[in-house]
Amino acid sequence: MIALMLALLAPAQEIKSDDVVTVLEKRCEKVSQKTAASVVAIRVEREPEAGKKPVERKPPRRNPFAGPPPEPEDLFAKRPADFWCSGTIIDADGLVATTAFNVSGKVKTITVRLPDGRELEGKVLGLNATDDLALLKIDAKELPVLVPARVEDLHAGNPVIAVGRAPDGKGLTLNPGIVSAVSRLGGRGVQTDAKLNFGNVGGPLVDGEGRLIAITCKVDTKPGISSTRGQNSGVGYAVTHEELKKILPDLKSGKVVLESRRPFLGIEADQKSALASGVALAAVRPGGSAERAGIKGGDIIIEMDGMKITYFDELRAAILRKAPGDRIKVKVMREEKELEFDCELGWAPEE
Amino acid sequence: MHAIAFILMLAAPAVAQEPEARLQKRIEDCSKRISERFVFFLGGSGVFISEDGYCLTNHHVAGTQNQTKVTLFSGKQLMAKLICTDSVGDLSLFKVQGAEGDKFAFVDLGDSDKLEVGQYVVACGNPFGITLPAEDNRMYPTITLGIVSALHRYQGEYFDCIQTDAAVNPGNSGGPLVTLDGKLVGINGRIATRYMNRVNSGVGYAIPSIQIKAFLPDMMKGGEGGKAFHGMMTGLSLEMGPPGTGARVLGVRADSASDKAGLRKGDLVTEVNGYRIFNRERFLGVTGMYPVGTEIALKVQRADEKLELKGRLEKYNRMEIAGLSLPQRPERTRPKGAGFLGTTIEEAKEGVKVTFVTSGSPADDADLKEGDLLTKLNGKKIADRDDFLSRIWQRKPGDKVKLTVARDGKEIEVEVVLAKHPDD
Repeated sequence: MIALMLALLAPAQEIKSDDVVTVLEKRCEKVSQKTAASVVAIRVEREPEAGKKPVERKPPRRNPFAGPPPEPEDLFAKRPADFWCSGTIIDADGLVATTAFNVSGKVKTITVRLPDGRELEGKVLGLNATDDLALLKIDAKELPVLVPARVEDLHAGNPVIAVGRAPDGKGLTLNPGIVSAVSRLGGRGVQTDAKLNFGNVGGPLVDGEGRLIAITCKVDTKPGISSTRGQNSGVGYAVTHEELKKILPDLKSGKVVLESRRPFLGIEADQKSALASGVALAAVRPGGSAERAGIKGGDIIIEMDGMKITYFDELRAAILRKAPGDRIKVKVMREEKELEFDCELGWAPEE
Repeated sequence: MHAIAFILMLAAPAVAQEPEARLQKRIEDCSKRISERFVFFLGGSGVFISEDGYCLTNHHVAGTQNQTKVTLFSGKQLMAKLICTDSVGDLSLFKVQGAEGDKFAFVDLGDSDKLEVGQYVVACGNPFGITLPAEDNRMYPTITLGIVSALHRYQGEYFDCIQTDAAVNPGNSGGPLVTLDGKLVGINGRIATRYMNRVNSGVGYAIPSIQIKAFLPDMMKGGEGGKAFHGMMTGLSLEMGPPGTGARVLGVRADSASDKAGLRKGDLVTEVNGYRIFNRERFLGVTGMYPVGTEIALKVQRADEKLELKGRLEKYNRMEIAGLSLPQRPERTRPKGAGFLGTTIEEAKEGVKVTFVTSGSPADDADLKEGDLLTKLNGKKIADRDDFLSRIWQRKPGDKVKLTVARDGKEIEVEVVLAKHPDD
């Protein structure tokens, strides 16, 4: 009984000011104190990447009938030859997580600067471009590790802060925001409106108590999709620490997945189909996993792994939650007969 | 038992007063609430506003389609039928065709006039079309938090929009902007971008709920053949310039809405429907957010008088706002040394009408008056203004011209001796 009373009263006693702004400031202060020791700066020197320079262009005269302007090809230069980015200590014995984007390419040297000022050489152990994660090893012991948050309790609206290191490699950067949505990146990540940039990506996304939720990622310079994954758009992704834990053995053992490629069934849905339920196929890709399993154009997919499929995006999402090489069971309707096929998912063709 | 109740009573307010937790909870509750009331349109966003399936989106998202497939938060896909669209105000009303007896969770419309700059708002949308069904088959839209950056922004046909720094990106269009108590205050529809990069820059614009409220009753009934039309004070020329004490009337076209309302040249419009007017943009902004036919109350300063006028909005005309309502020709310039009559004229049905007579000019000597209709020059019909001017300008100072003047229903002929232009 007394315990209950104390538990209920405790939070009220901590806060003295009723000013929301002061409280938010205090939260940022608390988070920076709790996370600073676990967020490292990473200096990456690499062969200069042949990229387009940011072009100074005058916006052409808009023709009001021409519709929206075309997507820019790539407004940003490629990764500079020498730049600082952020990383998160995930193991006391010298393991640092960062994004694959930060440390891939023709890298010459990687220097990890610990918050206490030590500068150590970093070695890339493993790398996974699909999740945009990389694991670095540094020669240090007894490093502070962030307390993990419970990811299954997260939902949209939770306050989060993206923590990173400033371009001088020293200062801490905090970008507050909220969880925009859970169950992103095929259930492996969360989406946030905290601003992510080339500098802070790779750092941790933490909750209001400074607990690790995820590693911020997926800010890149790829043409075509740069607008969805570009800097500062307010649409940012982070891979949860649970997913990181899952692929950690692979990363530790040195597995390198350089291409961000997704699982692929090799089907083309019939866009004009007006089915109430199920996905009608216009065709199957020659040599794709659907064709190899025996699925044909004209079939109607009604189930995948026991889950009822009513429309195309459901099927697409269900496939994206799998990995290339996984086996799935697909149930189709063909000439009013139900047939089941066992497919091995392949790799999506390059974007 | 009593003891527990007592403790709870004591503890509850203490917890409730903790501002961080309170704010956090409100954001989370609001996010959950708005997610459940969200509608996914192909390439855009929408939101339910009634139990029986009415939902709003932008005209530029789906307004050209009679019906379209929408996906709900539950992951269900249904057809939605276009009820009415407003292509100027960028708003479309759809009705989702549920099964018999289906009830949809919806948001209440709030009052965007009660917003304050700095107030928290939540935007909900499907930026870049990234949403896919989650493991539970639900569709979780993207929630972004920001504040009201500015109010009553005039952005062309976003007449009176709300500016927010909540991240709004392509795909958010048509999605709701709500206050933390879950009330719909705007429909996000535009963003300001830089370097042609169509990504949020911290400046997003939303159509305010007061405008939506003004249109909704008519739109629910299907409008005029599925279309809604905005109103405007036609025939009004206002002075352009920085914000000041009002909008100065430069001219009023005869028989236009402004003429009928009693507006006159030189008036200073200071208030419309209780909204303070500080320049031309704000006047266009306020009058643009009502449907055609709406009666508006104007407060006008005329010399030392304060007047209250009533006007009725006529159909919105994009060309007139842009200043293109009348055929515009490049202003002709008088060749040096040409004859000088001393009148200012405008087009009339037959010939030209005198709008001003320079005192001491040949026209003044010939006793021409404002309002006179000049129909013939030297016996030959005056086709239009250009025709008249060129024929005057062909002549030299000292030349005589015969003008046929219609005044008070009578036609008289006067002879005028052209003079030297004062500038020559």
